[in-house]
Amino acid sequence: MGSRVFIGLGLLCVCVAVWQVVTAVGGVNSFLVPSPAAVALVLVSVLTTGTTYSALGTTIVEIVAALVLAGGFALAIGIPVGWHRLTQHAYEPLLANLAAIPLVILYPVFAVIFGIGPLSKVAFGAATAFFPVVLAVVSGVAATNQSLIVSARSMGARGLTLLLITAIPSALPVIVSGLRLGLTLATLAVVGGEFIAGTQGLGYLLASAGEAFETKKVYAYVVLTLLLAIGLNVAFGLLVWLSRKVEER
Amino acid sequence: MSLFHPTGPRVGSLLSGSIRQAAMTVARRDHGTPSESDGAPASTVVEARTSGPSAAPSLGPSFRSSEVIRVEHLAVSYRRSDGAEVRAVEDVSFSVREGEFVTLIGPSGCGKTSLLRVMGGLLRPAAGQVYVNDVLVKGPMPDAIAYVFQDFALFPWRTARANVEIALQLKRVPRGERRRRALDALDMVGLAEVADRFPRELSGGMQQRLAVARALVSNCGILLLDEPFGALDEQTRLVLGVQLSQLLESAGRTIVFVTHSLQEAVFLSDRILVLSHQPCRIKKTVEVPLPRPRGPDQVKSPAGQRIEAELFQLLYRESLV
Repeated sequence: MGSRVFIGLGLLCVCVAVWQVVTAVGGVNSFLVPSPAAVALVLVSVLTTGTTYSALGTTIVEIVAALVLAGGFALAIGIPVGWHRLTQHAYEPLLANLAAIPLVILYPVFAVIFGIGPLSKVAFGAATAFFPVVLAVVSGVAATNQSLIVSARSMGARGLTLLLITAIPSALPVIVSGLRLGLTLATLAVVGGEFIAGTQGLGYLLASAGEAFETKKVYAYVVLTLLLAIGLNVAFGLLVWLSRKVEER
Repeated sequence: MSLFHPTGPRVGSLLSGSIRQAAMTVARRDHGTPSESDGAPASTVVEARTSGPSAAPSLGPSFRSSEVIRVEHLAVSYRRSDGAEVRAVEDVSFSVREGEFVTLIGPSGCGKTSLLRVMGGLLRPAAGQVYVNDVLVKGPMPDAIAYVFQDFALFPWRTARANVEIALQLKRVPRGERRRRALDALDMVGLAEVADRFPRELSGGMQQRLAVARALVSNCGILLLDEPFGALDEQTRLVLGVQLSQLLESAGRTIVFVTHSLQEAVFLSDRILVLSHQPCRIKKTVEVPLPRPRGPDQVKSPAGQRIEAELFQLLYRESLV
């Protein structure tokens, strides 16, 4: 496990080194592609500015809210659909096809309905994250081992109880990985929404820097977004690990 | 180290003697004690003992068991993937007396599992009825029937103890009592040390014993076992078969067992119903009057082997059709 992280980081360092060498030699326009060293300097100054953190906070809250909303709807719709063969055959293809629509083209609609404040970002993020999560829920629930269901029935389980003791624990790993994917998509959607038309958040800062032609700052904010995505994923993993520990007590 | 602990007092406590008590009360009420019904107790005793092959000596000479399971003209069908309806079971009728061990044996795919499922209320028949304790079976009866599945059907996300507890959890048994009874059941099958392990960490034989523990914990009078040793190697089958026989005998329950092993059928049962190929009917009923309790030295007894030979003749002819 340690060696895997090492190899990944090593590759990253090689890429950064190549980038440094190319810019130092003068192979590219230093205005369009600044050197990693310059970006790092700007990144430090960005991180020491207070406004960065309030923007980061807004973005994080929007992402989490979007994911919670998406998750809620996905469970509410996905569980009944996946549990009954009839609904599963009817609705799963529909959901899969809807998932293929690039929702970003509908973002202006969200902005019109919810305004250009945080609410539209949350709605847009939730809509984007909804599809992978609902598909994961449906397939997880539908894949419950039939033998376990019959066994539970023979012991007297019916209806909701049957669902809760067989399908839900069985589908949990698939649902969690669906949520992880949803987190990634929610991050993209929220930051993207802030970038296109927003008033706060990381995407807005990115857009402002871009409009002011402060390329080094743009790169710095991109790195920051990357760090945010990594941080959220790690936090998610921690949450899953913690809940497993709590369950095993 | 014995795999099971078929000690009388412990098993007796699990059963709490209730079934035996009730049966004896019924027997006395319906048929009268020997000294009351006629003035010659000795002849009545002899009569009662030979009245049925399953009149187990340990339950007393005046005991005559009632029919706990009655299958009447049962037919079962299922729908194939291309939509055609296939008859798995055709016009099967038989009954099982209390405390009896009946085995259903037949060629592969003949419909034994479907028949057992209908008896357990897990499947609707196409025709006919099943009565358990004189009640028509319309669905699962978790208070009367416990089912052991061929693939064990253990919940992989629950520990061994939690797997056994689930039978009680579904009956709303309070937590403390649940835990205690589950540990008792695990102890009975010799799995007390692995109570906190997950099924994937247990061997095939241990998983099988766990499935049996789960069936025993709910104190049902009837056990239906669908090829419970199907997934195990022969040595484990033989050893578990002997242990299971001793355990189930001391537990005194009514058992219907499905297997395709002739040796198991003869060793474990009082009566064997030989089924024909699909759609299955009862081809023949073979009595197994071998003495009880059955121990490891009776696994290859001459009497047993004769019955096995008879069974094989029947089944071989069936497979040629």
